[in-house]
Amino acid sequence: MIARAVLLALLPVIAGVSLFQRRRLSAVIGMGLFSLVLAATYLLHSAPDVAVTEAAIGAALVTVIYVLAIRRTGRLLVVADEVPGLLALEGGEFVGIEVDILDGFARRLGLDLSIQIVPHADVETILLHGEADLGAGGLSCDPPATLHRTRDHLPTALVRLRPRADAPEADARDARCAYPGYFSDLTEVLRRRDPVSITLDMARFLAISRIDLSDCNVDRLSAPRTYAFVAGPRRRDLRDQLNAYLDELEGNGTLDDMIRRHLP
Amino acid sequence: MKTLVRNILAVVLSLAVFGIVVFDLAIPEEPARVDDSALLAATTGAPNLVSAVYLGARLYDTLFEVLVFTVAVIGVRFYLLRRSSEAPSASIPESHVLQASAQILYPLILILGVYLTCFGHLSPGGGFSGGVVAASGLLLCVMSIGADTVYRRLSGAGIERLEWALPMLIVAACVLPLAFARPALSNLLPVGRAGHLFGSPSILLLNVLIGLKVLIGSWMVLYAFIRHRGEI
Repeated sequence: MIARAVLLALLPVIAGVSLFQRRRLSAVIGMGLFSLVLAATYLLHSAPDVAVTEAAIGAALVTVIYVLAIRRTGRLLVVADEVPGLLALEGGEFVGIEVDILDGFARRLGLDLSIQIVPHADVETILLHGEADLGAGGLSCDPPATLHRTRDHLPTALVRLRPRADAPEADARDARCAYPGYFSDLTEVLRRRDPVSITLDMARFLAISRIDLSDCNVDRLSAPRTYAFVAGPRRRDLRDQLNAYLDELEGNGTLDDMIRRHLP
Repeated sequence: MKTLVRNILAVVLSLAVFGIVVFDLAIPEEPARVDDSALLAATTGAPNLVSAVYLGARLYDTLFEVLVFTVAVIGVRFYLLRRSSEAPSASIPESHVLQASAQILYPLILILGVYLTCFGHLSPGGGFSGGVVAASGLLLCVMSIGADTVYRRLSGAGIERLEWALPMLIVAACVLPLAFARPALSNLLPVGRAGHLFGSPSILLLNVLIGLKVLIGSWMVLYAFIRHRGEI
């Protein structure tokens, strides 16, 4: 009798709690829990057949279908390569200025932030194919016209590394940050002193500057650059929302705090 | 040839459903009583009165419930699986913890589904809930070995043909008593000893057919969702 009353009283509480969840996944789990408690209620009211069906459909199958549905829509999928200080893996967790910004932005939208590490050169291709929502990881160049670049959040510059034997080149204004593969592999390449010709942004260059670069010519390209995020072809709305969020962060000084915290 | 067979099957199915309605009205019969539990258990041989009602006295309702479910599955398949031939979305690999635990759990869940289906007339359960539980087991199977592998294996086992055959078989089980000069929707097989697994063979048969139908239908719906929303 008491158990029945407790379960019945729990039902509206669970329903209300799951109704006011901001994260969609939490709301779906709340609905599954609701079904489970409802099944227990049925059981206590001597309706085991209905209880079995409610548990099988409500708690298991429908929950899974919802999770499938929000798997893509409930996440803010960001593709990026690592940039120390901006977005880097440390002990299994992402840390950096861009991570803090994206984390707050995803929470604002009620989405789960999901960051996938991809080669820097592939970020724009993946966005163009619509396989991710945002590109990040120290994007300092203008993307193709169909992609939407957000406002800047940090100034930077480009640095070009060339084998010492190469002839000096002109300071190209349209130079892009370019290196083969993942940033984490790049340090290996440089340690092995392979002759490479690459262009890096300031954050990446500072991260590798501990390596002995005496074999390379290091030129700082004079054109000023800034870091920004890039949204996919049909995500102009997302770009505008992120711009508004960045404006807000700059307005209340949070952005400066983040920069001080991650780039001492 | 294939279209001809399909059209003939469709006509037979419609005629059979139509026949149930017409003949059931043509053969005068005492309306099945659902308020006398002792009588109900005796005529169906099923101690679980819920099964005795929805697969015995009120089989008519259940038959159309199955047909509604069939139509729903056809709708999902038509709109999701046939809609586009674009490449399925890139798969997101599952975490190892989930993979390993799913691998342990799915045979148990599948067996629970089979149990619920086969013992539906004796204890709580039945074809509908048993089929859904087994479909959840398949879902765990998908988590451990991947949706496309499961799909290939099940298609190899001729699951699609079975899916189309099952509604026909269920309707046939409802219509066939007419061939023995009994009203449609009555017991197809003779009642045995009450309380035993084969005590009410017609309800057992219907439960197994409905369980298979629900399992395959749910799997088709889930697979359609997986294909268009990414890997589970």
